Amino acid sequence: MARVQAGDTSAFDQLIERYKGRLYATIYHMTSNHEDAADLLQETLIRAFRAMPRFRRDARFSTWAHRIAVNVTINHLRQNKKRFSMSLDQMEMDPNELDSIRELLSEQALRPGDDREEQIASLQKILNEAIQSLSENHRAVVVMHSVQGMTHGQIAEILGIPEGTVKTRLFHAHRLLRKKLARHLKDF
Amino acid sequence: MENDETLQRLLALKRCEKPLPGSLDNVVGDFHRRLRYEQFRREQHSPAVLWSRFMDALLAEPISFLRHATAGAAVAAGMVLGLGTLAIPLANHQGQFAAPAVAQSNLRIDLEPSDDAALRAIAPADALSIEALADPDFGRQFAQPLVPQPQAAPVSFDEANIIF
Repeated sequence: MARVQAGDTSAFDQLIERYKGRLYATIYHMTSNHEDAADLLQETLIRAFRAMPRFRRDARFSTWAHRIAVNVTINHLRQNKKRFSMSLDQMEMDPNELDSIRELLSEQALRPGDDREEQIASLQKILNEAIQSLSENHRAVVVMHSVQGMTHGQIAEILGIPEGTVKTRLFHAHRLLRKKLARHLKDF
Repeated sequence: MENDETLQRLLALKRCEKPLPGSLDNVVGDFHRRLRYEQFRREQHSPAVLWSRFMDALLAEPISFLRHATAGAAVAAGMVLGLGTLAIPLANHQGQFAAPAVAQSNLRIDLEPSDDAALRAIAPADALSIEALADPDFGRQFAQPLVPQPQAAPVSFDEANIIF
């Protein structure tokens, strides 16, 4: 970390290799667009590298980098509210998960004749549309908690807000998602 | 509760979404390319680079540079002198332009807003009706003739109280 803070780019490369996947996933799940995610990941890395001299080592690098990524993504989403396009047919899913999908989705969402690819695309579309309908702040919390499995404490640290606020946002976001997905899901 | 679990399971399925094949292979290379580009762009606009370019131009082609600099200075000096030449006569002969027109007039045309109130004071109320105001000769009867002074000094624009 000291080498990175001294401006050693090769040391920063190692950090990139280590965290690029998780950072990309966070950004992608918030934007639902692979091209935007790749571009925003680069912007995140550039900003992180420039801000490295100001990085205090009392926080974890991953938390700090996630904070930059989430802020960069939220700014991007706010600036491009009217321009929204999802990346479809780019989902790679474990075949074993397909039964789970069938179990969760209603007949409205999955028709018996549809093949696997169509069912996956359908699921992706339904989920992403529902997530994209949330506000940027609600979306960030849902993605980090429900999709990426972070704890309330980690999210609070990344967003710089109290844990109680994280829980409140999550509660409201889930309520909105249930409402949005009610038509497509069983048991709602 | 069950609903919430179902939602959580569904959202967790999004973890299975993967980036496009190969899209994360060259993140480091792209980062370095972008970093170099940003540094280059930043350097191009720094004062040191701009000064260096100026000095390069001066040292590489001094004759051409001096020729352009001299031409630019001559144009600038010409504009300053031209403006100065026009400004001096205007300042010296300001009164002479105003005197004839004002001295020959027998009507006092006063555009001061304060006189509007004075006009209303001397005019009957019905004289200020809309019809009266539409009359192009309206107000002529209230105009006071200007009595020329036998040896009056030429009246300047300021003294004539004409507002432009």
